[in-house]
Amino acid sequence: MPDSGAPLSVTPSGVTSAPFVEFAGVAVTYGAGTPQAVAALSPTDLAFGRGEFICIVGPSGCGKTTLMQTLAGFLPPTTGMVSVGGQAVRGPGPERGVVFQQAALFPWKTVAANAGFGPAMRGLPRAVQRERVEYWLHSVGLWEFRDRYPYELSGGMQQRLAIARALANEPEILLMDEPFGALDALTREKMQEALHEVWRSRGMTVLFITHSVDEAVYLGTEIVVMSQRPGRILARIPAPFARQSADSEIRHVKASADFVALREQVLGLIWGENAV
Amino acid sequence: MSAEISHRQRLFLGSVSVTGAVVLWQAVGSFHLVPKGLLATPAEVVAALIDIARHGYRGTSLGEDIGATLLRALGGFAVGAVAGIPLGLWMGMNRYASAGADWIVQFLRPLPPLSFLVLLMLWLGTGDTAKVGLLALTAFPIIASATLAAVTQVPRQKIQAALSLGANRRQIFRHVLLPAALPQISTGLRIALAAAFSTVVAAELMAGSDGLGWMIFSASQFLRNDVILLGILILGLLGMGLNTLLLSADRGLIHWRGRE
Repeated sequence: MPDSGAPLSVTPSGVTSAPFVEFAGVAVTYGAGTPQAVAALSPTDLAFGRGEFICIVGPSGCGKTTLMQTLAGFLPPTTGMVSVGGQAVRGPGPERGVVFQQAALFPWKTVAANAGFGPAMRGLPRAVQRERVEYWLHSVGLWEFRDRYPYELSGGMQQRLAIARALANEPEILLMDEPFGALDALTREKMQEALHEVWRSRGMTVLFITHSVDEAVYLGTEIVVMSQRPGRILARIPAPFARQSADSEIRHVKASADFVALREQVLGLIWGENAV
Repeated sequence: MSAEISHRQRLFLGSVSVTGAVVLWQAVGSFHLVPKGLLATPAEVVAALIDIARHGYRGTSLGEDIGATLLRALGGFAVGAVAGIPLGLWMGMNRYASAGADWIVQFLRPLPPLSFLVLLMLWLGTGDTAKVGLLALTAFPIIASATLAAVTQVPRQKIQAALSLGANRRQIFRHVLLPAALPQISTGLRIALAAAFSTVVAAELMAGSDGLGWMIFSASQFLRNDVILLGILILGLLGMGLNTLLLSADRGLIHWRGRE
């Protein structure tokens, strides 16, 4: 059984003690030093603790993805520094799993080989590789498809496979860039529930980018609202539902007065900014 | 998009048009629509086939001619692939390699290969070395640029996904870049083989003492247009056969082609 990580230290505000992930003055300018330079991200400070589920919302092109890519190690910040557990991020690494909006699977490999890609590349013992593939394919309901190829799966199943692939590597941090953006509403809600389950049981740290305020309020322990380009952080709002809704139905949570009120508050921030 | 047609329909329609063409061809000869001697009839071509299959043509057997042409085409193609695929991969992964080799590849690509033939014969003699070298020069730039394009079009997110799953550079090459580029490399190989095949015939027309191109050229000097047509038919069928071979290898190996 994969190791379940440190227990969550929950506080009423949803903020844990020591910062685990830290963006310190991180700014990104594309084409810096050229006449075509575009500022994508204003200098940004953001820190959060282990086990948090941080949801970033904001208008299109606001630098959400740019921010995430600096943590993933795909994009060096123009200024500032990103660190995880006190260590500066210098490139991609297996302790930071990534799930993209497009599943980005390997269609030349079977479903099982996709799920086990990380453990196989890292040379973990065969038995461990098999165990993880089995565990995570069961968790996302794809075990019976293990010998198929990704192109034989539906869009929702492909995205579940991408999540299983990231989780089978047991990253400390999971970075998700609009992972459910391409899915239909029903599949999307099921995926939200499934992800919520996994996060609750595993206690990993998640940085989750979404266009959907509804999704952010349901999943996040904290919602980070960003402004239009060049992006900066407008507000950080703790959200209680991720930790409350142990056995509640997703529909019930989303219909509750508290949920609607918080969703409206976040929407107001986004709209208010855009009206200016 | 038109709807798919079945295998049976394809066979039927193909046979109909081939039969139609042969009947038309025979009719042109039988009704003397073309002066005699300018177009051999299918029957005469079949007769020539039987004769040459039995006795050979001017000292070489039909098998030797087919074998010589095939070996040259495949040899040049293989040399072009062995040089072109690694260069294309290297150019695709390294911007300095790309900048360094780009002009040379782009210069070679549009050149008619036959323009090299005289030089190559001066350097390498009139034998097979010059011909294989010529075909390698034909196939190489096609394969190199197809491979380069293939690598350039590998989705960045697939590489990023592999990196953040802990793959190292060698693993990314082996497990992501190469398989992702394979469909386009394979297409490039088929185009290059077709080009090598048509060039080998032209090269044999210009110099040589065996091969199908030589057979056609030699027959034209004796106005044996039954042999000329026979040579053309064999060439066409060989080309089709080679393409089908590569295509079925492609379908068998690259099951993910065009499917995401």
